[in-house]
Amino acid sequence: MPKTIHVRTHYRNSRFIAIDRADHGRVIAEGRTVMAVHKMAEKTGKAFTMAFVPPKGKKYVF
Amino acid sequence: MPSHLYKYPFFSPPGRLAGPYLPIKITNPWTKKSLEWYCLVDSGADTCLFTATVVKIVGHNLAGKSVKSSITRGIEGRTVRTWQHSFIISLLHPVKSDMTVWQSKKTLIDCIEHDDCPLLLGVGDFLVNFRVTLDYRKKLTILQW
Repeated sequence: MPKTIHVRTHYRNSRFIAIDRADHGRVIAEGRTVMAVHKMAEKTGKAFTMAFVPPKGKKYVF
Repeated sequence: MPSHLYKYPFFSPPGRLAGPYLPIKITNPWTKKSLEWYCLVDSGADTCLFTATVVKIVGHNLAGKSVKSSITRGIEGRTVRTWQHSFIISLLHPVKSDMTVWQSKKTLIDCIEHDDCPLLLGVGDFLVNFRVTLDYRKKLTILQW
């Protein structure tokens, strides 16, 4: 059974993260903008998947 | 009878409940640039919705001269301007993430001018192709086609 992917950020203001594809839920880059996180993750040379981090206390209804 | 069945674990952003996010590869068919992203399954959305910087990274010009724009209305009742860009959406394998299990044709996707929301997988461009089960008890998204 696949396990739920739980991710944690080091910084409260991180809005985007890059997750290592090979390592279940390990964050390899985080930051406030997509471009900054994408650049940082590319520098690691690892394959990654990005995700949006909703700010704490903000409710989203789609 | 569906011939493909894949179970995706829920994804839990920091401080949030786990939800139905899927690993998607977004490709610009013209530049072939691509980006992988955990996109939220939104059965209430008519179409998919991508954000501004994602559009930029794969090489589209969001509000370029010849880009078709339209108006989208959200739950809050306000209208949002969107621009349509062509993408190929690929669904990645739940474990072997370098493997594509399903791929769309070249399709026009609505894109917004900010980044303050997750990328949405809506009905018209994506969900209509699958039998979707959201199992909140087992925290799984099950796709069959």
